[in-house]
Amino acid sequence: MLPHLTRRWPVYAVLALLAYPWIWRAPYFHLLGFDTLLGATMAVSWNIMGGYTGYKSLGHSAFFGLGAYLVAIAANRWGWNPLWSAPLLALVVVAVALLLGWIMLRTTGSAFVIATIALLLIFRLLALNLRGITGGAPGLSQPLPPWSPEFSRLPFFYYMLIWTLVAVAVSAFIVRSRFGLGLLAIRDDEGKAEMVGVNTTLYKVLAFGLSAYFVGLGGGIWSYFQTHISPVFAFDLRIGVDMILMTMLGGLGTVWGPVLGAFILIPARDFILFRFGATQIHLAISGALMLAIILFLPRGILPTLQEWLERRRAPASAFVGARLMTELRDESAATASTPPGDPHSRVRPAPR
Amino acid sequence: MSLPPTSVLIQVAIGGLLTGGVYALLVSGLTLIFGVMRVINIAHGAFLVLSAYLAYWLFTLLGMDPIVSIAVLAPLFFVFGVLVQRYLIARVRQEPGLLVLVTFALAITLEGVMGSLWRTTGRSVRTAYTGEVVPLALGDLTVRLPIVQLVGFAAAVIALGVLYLLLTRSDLGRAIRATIQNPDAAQLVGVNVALVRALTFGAALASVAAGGAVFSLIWTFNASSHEAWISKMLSIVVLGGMGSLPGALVGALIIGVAEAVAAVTITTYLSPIVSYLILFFILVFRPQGLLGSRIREA
Amino acid sequence: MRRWHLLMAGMVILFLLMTTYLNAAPAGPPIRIGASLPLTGRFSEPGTAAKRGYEVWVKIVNDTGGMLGRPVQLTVLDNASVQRTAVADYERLITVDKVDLVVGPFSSFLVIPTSEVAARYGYAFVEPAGGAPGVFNRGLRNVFFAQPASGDKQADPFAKYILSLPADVRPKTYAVISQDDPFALGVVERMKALLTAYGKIKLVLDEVYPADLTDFRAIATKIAALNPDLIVGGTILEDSIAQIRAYREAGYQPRGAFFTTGPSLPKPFREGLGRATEGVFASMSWFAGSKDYQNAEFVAKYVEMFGGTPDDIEEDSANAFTVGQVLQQAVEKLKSIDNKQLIEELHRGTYRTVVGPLSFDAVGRPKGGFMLLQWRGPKFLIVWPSNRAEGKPVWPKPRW
Repeated sequence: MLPHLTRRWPVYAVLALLAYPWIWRAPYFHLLGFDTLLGATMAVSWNIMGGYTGYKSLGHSAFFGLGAYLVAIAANRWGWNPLWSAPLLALVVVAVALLLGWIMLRTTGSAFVIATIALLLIFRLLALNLRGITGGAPGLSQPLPPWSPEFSRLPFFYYMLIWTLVAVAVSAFIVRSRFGLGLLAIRDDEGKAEMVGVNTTLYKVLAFGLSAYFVGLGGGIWSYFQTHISPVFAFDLRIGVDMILMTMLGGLGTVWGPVLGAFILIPARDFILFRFGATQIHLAISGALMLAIILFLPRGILPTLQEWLERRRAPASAFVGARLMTELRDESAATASTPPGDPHSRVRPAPR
Repeated sequence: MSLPPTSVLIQVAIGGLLTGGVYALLVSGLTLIFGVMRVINIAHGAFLVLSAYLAYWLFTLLGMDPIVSIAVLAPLFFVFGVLVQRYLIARVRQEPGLLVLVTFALAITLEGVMGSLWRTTGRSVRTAYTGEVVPLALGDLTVRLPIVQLVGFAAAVIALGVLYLLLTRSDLGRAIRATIQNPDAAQLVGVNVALVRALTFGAALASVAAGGAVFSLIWTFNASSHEAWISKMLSIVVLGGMGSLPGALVGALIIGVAEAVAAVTITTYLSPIVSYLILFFILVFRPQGLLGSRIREA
Repeated sequence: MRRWHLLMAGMVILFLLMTTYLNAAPAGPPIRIGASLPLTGRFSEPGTAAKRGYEVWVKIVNDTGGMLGRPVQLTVLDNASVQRTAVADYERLITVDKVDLVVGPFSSFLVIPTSEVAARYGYAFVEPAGGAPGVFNRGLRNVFFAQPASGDKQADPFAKYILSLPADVRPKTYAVISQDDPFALGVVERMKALLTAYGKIKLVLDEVYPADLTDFRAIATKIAALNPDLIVGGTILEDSIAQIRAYREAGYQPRGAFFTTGPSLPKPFREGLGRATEGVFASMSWFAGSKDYQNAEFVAKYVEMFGGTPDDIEEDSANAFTVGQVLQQAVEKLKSIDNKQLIEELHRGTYRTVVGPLSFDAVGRPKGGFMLLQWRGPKFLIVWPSNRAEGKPVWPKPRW
């Protein structure tokens, strides 16, 4: 029963998500669903750089804010509808990220992390200062969506769901591709990756650009959803921190980990805010949670869970190496001495 | 952009030097921690604000002058630092990206705790000498030196002097410098590197405790101030060279003056961009800063 | 005969007891009102003050028979000064908790997006602290700002006073230095329009600084060298204190000083500056000694509930209380809590409040004006308009 479920679970999950707004019909839940999907999309995107490649950017909200502002400005100046302009303008964000990545990725380790923070601060300061374009600290408003108020959140929810699936598909495709293999090699040992012929600079810059796409896109959709954006909230360090937190909770460098992290973290945060709202404790809880994850669950839920399951079901595991080991052992045992009461021991199906 | 009169520039530059001296105290611990354990302590700003709050508390509740309260705060933060290093930093996989996240998480945890303890109103200590100045005649120009800045500068010089003596004259200091140069070799010649790291973290927090007390005298702060300050502090150490104490001093003086001059020549609004740009471009193009060694990591 | 009298007396007493009882304990299902306030984060101080104002209003209403005879029940959520949480909160209040009425959060930042949520569901949105131009230029009909006038009008009383000074003492030059905040910038922009365009006073410096700037020493040195007669600061609180300290250190002694917010929060302002507060001007919508409608009750109940003295009460609490007063009078006049009718009524009526009578224009801008106050010794006194003045303005101001 379990393998069946494992193979088909994404289908069931998508069906459940399609039905979700009709089961929890209050628009508040649609909002929560949208927030969760937005978080998941961005975490999946961040994971391409932070998880696969091992370069943890703290400043990805720079791309979030950039996407949000581009979409808002295009909507106000030229009347571009954010629903189609967001995916388009996110390409501009990617271009900016490629350029910055090309400059920044000379750095490694903590220098890279600090440089991403500096980048975010520079972006925020520019958004605050270029008042003619961005409206300064008061921010920018956008036209309201045309659909009726009762269903205001529903289109956003489904639209975001599409992009979450696209992001996961892209992420899954990457990790199975030669490109992805190169990224993983960079994460494990950049020097060795270089030696075996991976163009590390090119790979890193591409990964950085790609990981900015869905973050910029998310920013664009978010700005339409909010109808009003301002620099302090669009270029908020915490948005980037959330991406890291979700990814690390679910499983750094896994395809579904960031999604799982988002589905746990965002509803939990809403709950904490409503429950303990009257104090600044929720910030302390975020920090403490992050510490706890790093200290006690450094690999995240999915890898830890997978490892645990494999250990429990070791013989039946689909893990190639484990299966091979088991068979080799059986073979040798069989040739050494055939147990008398077991005539089938030599007849085994070929490994598939 | 219009250039203000020379008298303004001179006055502002002298003020910037005084500020820079205090900056040097604020960042000395940050650069020391990096030197010894290659950790960029993002929580340094949060510890600074925490110390400033405690100094504010000691002042409003007991009437203790912030400079006096250093005697209480520095030992307290030393112990705190040793504990944080032993039970948090040392327990995490020693990978730079991850360690930055640990200190970042620590920073927002502290911010949350401070925010719930002291709310978000900006605080600052107002002593009898706050707002008073000492006039200094330079030819026909009179420079006004605020007493709080003079006191802060003097405290910074003394605290940095103590730190310098500790590093050059004591066994611990020798062990620390050996560990900065080469941790493996230090271990081989019998230095207890784990202990040195813990004590360094303690000493670094003691120095930021002194910095926080001075800070409460000169600037207003609230729980979220640490974000703006850590970026400024990072620019200073990156400019001077990560891990280099003399570098931090030079960087602090340069940033102190540059920022003050930028505020009166370009605008106050854009003046922080000077330090952000320094941070970004030095990291990218000259990671060793002015006086430091290159940040080399796996 | 005596028995008859006794019975009569007994019945009268019973009747009195019953009416007081009925008065005191409103019956029927409660009217549920929701709000999301910034109880944490950067607006937590004024947000908490606003919460107290709402709570005082609820207490007074419920002690005096409720609204339409029904008790009032208030739900306050914390939005942590974050826009998207504030939006989520109102969504939740309206669609999940299904509250009958909503009241606004603190600051234009949060009012702008949340008023749209309320508009989407047709809820009236009376709010205590969102007076920036951006609140009113979106064409929403459900927003009502419960202060005497839109935020930028805080410039008016001071500008009028300056322009009324005789030509020989009127300032010739002034400098403007403002935090980048929609409210503060609104005030200083209007101040510039009034003083320079209309009054022909020369503007010698115009600076905008970011919210996190803490050191004003360099810019104060520059201002001291320019030495304008008048300084206008667009401040929130901490920055007003830091600015004045820096001016003292730089030796800058203007003849007049006006700050948007800061001087109007008497307790922390005085704590931060001591005697340097002398002669500083600011505009306000409310003061503790006001004789306006229900103000005495508000002040007494506030002190009873939260302790302290009347001088500790912040303007933000009074503004939140005003929201309640407006809402209550509109509801009682309509005898209904139907939001659609309520919006129409709020556009029509005039309401008695602790900040004086309020009425609103088509986009919810109030039609009144602010008062001008000046620091005199340990007190912050009303100096304009003359029918409320507690003293005459002092010009030029004493040294700080």
